[in-house]
Formats: sequence, structure tokens, C-alpha cells
Amino acid sequence: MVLLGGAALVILGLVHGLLWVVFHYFSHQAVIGGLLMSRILSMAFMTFLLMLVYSNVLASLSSHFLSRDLPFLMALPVRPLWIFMSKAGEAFVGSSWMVAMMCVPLYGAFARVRHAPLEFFPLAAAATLPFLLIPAAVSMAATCGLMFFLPARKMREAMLLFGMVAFTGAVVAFRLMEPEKLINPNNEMAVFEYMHLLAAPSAPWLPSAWVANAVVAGVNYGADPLRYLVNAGKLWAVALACWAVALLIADRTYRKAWQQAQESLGVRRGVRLASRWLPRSGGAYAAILLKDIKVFVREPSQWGQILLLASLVLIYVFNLSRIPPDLTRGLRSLLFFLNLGFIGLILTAVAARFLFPLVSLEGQSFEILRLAPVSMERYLWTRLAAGIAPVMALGLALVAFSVPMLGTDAFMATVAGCTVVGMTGAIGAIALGCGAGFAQFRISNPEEIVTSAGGFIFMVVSTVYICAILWLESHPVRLYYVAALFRRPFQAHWLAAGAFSLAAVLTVVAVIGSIRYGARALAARELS
Amino acid sequence: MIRIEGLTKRYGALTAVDNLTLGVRPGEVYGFLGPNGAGKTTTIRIITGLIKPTSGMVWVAGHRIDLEPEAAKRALGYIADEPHPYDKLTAREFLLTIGSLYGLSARARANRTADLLGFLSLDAWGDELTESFSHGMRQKLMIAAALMHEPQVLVADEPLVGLDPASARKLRELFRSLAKEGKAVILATHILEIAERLCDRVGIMGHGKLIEEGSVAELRERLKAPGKNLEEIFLELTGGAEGRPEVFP
Repeated sequence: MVLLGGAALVILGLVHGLLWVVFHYFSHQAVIGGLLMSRILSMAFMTFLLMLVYSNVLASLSSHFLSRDLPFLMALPVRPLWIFMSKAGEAFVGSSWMVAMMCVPLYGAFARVRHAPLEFFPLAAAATLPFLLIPAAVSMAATCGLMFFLPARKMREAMLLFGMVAFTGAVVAFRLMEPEKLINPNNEMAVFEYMHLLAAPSAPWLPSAWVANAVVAGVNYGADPLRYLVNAGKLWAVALACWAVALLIADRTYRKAWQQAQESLGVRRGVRLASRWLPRSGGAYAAILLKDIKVFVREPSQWGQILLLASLVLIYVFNLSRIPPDLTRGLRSLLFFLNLGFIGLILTAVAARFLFPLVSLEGQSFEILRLAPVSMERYLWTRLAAGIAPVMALGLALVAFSVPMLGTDAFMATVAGCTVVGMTGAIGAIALGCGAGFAQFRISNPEEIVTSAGGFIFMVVSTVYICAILWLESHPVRLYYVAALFRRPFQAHWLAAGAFSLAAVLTVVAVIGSIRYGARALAARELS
Repeated sequence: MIRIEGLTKRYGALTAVDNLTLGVRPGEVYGFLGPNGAGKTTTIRIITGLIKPTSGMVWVAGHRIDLEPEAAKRALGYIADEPHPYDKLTAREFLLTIGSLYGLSARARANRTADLLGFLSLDAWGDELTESFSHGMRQKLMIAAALMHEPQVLVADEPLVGLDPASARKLRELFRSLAKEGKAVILATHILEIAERLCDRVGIMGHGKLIEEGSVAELRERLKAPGKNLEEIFLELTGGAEGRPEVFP
């Protein structure tokens, strides 16, 4: 708990520092500095608004329609509106806390740069609360209505897929807009082009614009209180109206919507594809893999993961293409070697999302595997063999893109290829081993599984492994480049053989050790 | 077929199972009875290998569950009190997967799946995802899964909960026919009427210990309680009769 709290404080501190740098830089720009800061605030609030709508719909689906205690609560002689309201509180806190937390470093950085008085903070908080309440009311009322058209489970899956697609699109779009041009003093035209591009989502009739205006006005409240009061007044009036309408709708429809939400659509034609195309299972371990593939095909929320991988490759290639062509060969070689560490971290992130939660996602059905005459070690080896295939393909694709783009020679390309193959195996095994050791069979959300203590331990172990491999390989690689620089033959063959052998041994130990640790933990796990 | 010797399971200061010794013979239906919290489910989950005992040993079909877990599990079928099939598989796919896990041939998997779906009246639902199943249907599917590899020992924890009367009757008949084939069935239940009719012997647990064991006739004789049914004997042994209120509050 203390560790998580500390990590949260560090993250908030970093965000605050980053925002302060950005605001500070813009505050010193003549003419457009103030405009840019207001625009950044509106963009932030627009993003928050979209996040709030999305997370409130998801939270409302979980709390109002899929919560396990609802059948019991609905059977009580209690007006459904009271149940709706208690669940609404739970959904509101669950979906809004993160945005509320992010407002702290945002307001802190803005206030510091604008030298705002202390009264700015309560004024900003008073404008933020209705801003959080409006999307909550709208989303919860809309979810109630949507239940008459879609069962809750199907809608949750659709929303998760939509969220993943939207997130991926936003990340790619943001990167392709090249925001670094904003801080390039030689590129003033680009700033105006950028501003023009960002002009679209200003939408003055949305609560995001009112809260941005209220926050900006809050800095000068003493001089011009009316501007703040008008915007904050709009927020509170609309928030109260939205909640009044939402509660009216809930009072009339909630019970019926909940009943409607319990229906299932069954297997649709498209969902049957997996049964038709995949072979009937063979041995025990092939059966486990086939089961996984079928579950993946039938879980639309999982499909977005492919998009995330594709977007990672796209952003990576785009970043490489932006490396200035006039870099020296030595610097390019150094970049290429450091790039291996970067690829390792990307593989860690991908393994955290895809491989670490694999065992936990078996859920309470894991009992079936424990009851069967299946070796937990072979089970993990099977999962590793299948699970690392896409991760390795990603790693090798990143190497394949970086070799021609950074103009690397055959020796380094071979070192990079072998390193990435070994790293994928080890990182995959560490992910599976830690995932098995810290399995959480009662949690179905992969994000929640990854953000647990086990996920943190996996990332630390994986990062230590990557650093160790890079350190071992850095000695022969450095000598190779020095020899190439002075046009001398490379003579440190024994050192190279020793270093690469040690890296290989470390990788094998990491793979076997992680799988055995995970298998022992799974076999010893008490399923009560 | 099942042998338990000196089995103890402790959770901190709480002793859930206390030095339990019992055996179930081939061709026998053994009823495992006791009030809530008596240690029945813990014992059953130790037999299946899902929980490790603090001390003591368990043999299933001659294999020690801790030393030869795979051989013991091959001989064992388990019906849990809460059904958790894979939600995103159809009933047919689920049973085929179970068949593969137990090493059945393709033909045996297909035949057994068709037979069990028919026997438990699930054939009309065979191609539906199990996530759309009711509790009773999921329970029937887990019963089919436990029977898929024709185990020598069947362990069932409250298997009749949620079943419709026709399926419950079929299951009772199935338990008897399995016993006739020389297999052992160990059945934990609170439905004493069924235990009395179905079980060759019963073991009554309380506070983690085996209080009494034997056929219902033997228990009557031992307790000098002629004419009493199993419910009355059970309440007498577990102290439930003393706590029964005379007037419903």
C-alpha cells in the first residue's frame, strides 16, 4: 500500500514537473503564450471529458447491471432508485478518481506559472466537481436506455473494444502530429499550423470549455469574478439538471433495464467461426491452446490488443524515420545498441499485457486444469511456446525495421537478432512465471492483474535482466566499434565468445528458472 | 479405493480437519455428512489435490495424491459445489476439451460427449456458449465433465443443488450404477433423505472430526435408536436437535 502510494506520488510529481516545463515555456512566448496555455487546458479537459464519458459507461455497466449483489438487492423491498443511487456513487468514484487526481498536478503547474493566489485552488475544485458530475449523470442515464437494446455483457465487450481502438487511434494520431515541433524555436510556422490543427475541438458549448474558462478565470478572480462565476454557474446548473433528469430516468426504467440486461445473445454466426475452422483438439496441451484461441476469437475486448501492437510498430518506425540523417556512423551504432534496450522494454510492456495475465485469466476454471492429469510445468511451457510467437515476431520486426534505417552492418544485425530472440524467450518466461506465481483467479480485468504487485515485480525482474544482457554485450560491441573506427581487425574473439555465452546462459537460467518457479507455485496453490 | 490416514488441515489457529482416517471401498457409495463448517468440503478438496493437507496422507485408486498426482487424478472425477466451466466455449467444445485433457482418443471424446450431453438432456444446448447457461445447466455440464474419462472414483460435493427433479433422479441412479460397476462414489450432501436411500455407508463429521461411521442400520444399532431415520440420528450426533427452537421465531 505504502509502495503504491509512493509510486502514485512519484508519478504525480513527474506529471506536475512536465506540465510546469510546458506551461513555463509557453508563458514566455510573446503574443501566443497565454492562448497556448488556455488551449492546452481546453485540450486536457476535452480529453478528460471523453475519458469520463467512456469510463462512466463502463463503470455503470459493471455497478448497475453486472454487479453480483444486484439479484439480492433487487429482491429487497427497496425502491430501485435507491439501489441506482448507491451504485451510482460507487461508479462515480470508480470512474472519476483518476481524472480528479490528474487535475492536481495540472492545476498546481498552471497556478505556479501564473502566480495564482491560494484561493485559486478551492475555486478550481468548485468548478471541477460539477465537471466530473455531468458526464457521470449523462453516461449513467444513457446506459440505462441502452440496456433495452443490448445485453450488458455484450455492451461491455463492445465498449472495451471501442475504447482500445479509440486509445490506439489517439496515440498514433498524437505521435504523427509531431508535437515536438512546438518547442522548436526555428519552426514558428509549424506552431501556427499546429494551432490551426488543434482549433477543431474547442467546442464552447461543452462543459470542458466552461471548466477551462473557469480555471483560467480563477487565477484573476479578484480582478474579474464575473467570468469565473458565469462559467462555474453554467457547470453547476447543468450538473444539477443532468442529475435530476438521470434520476428521473432511473426511477422509471432502472428495474426494467436491469431485467433486460440479464439476457444473453448466445452464439452468433460470426462467433461460430472458431468452432468450424479450428481443428478438433489433439493432446492435452494442444487442447489448452485451442481453448485459448477460441476464447480470444470470442472475446471482442481482446481484439484491440492486435491494434495496440500494430500502433507500437508504427510509432517505433516513425520515431526511427525522424532520426536526423547527418548523424555519424559511430553515433548511429550507439543508437542501434541502445535501441536493443528500448526494444527489450517494449517487449516487457507487451509481455506484461499479454503473457503476464494469461494464467490469471483462466479464472476459477483453473480448477479444471488442476484436477486434470496435467503437469503444471508442461502447461507453462506450452503457454510460453504459443505466447512468445507473436511477441518474438514483434521484436524481430522492430530489429528488421531498425537495421536499414540506422544503416547497421551484418555483425550488429546478427547480434541484435540473436539478442532479441533470447530476450523474448526470457521476458516471456519471466512474465509467465511471475503471472503464475502471483495468479489472481478472481479478477477478470487484465489491466487490474498487470497493475498488481506481481506485475510490478515482473517489470523489475525483466528490466534487471535486460540491463544485465546489455551490460554483458556492451564490452565486445564497444571493442568491435573501436576496431571498426580505427580500421583495425577485431581481435577480442575470446572476450566476445565469453560475453555472448554468459548472456546465453543467463537467458537459459531466466527461462527455466521462471517456468519452474511458476509451475511450483501453481502446483502448491490452494484452491479453496 | 480411497484411503485417508491421519489427515489434518489447519488454517492458522483453526483446525478444519482434525486427524481424519477413513476408507471407501470399490462398489460403495459413501455419504459424507456434517453441519456447515464441519470440514467436509476441505476434506474433499484435499482428496482431489486442490488443497494440501497440513499432515496425513490420501490414496486414490492406490496412488498417493501428493506423490503421484497425475496417476491419482486420472482415476478421479470431481463434481464441485460451484460450477465453473469455460464461459466462452460451447458445451460440446468444453467436454471435448476435457476429454483431451484426460488423454481420450478422438473417437472416444466424440462418443462420450454425445452420450453425456444426451444423458443429461443438454444435447439441444450443445452448441451454445456456457456463459448463457443457468446454474443447473452449468452444474449438469460439470457433472458430464467429471464423468467424461469414466473415473474409478467419483467425488461429488453437493451435486444435486440446482438440478431439476428429473436430472436429480438420473444422477442418483447413475451413482448406484457406478457402484455396481465396482467404482467408488463419495458424496457430500445436506439432503439426508437422499443420503439414507443412496449411500451404503455414511460418515458424520463435526468440528473436523469423524464422529460416527457405518451404514444407517449400523448407526441405529450403535446408538440404540431403533426406528430413527438418518436425519434424527444426524441431529442427535451433531447436537442440532438440542439447538432446534420449539416455535419458529
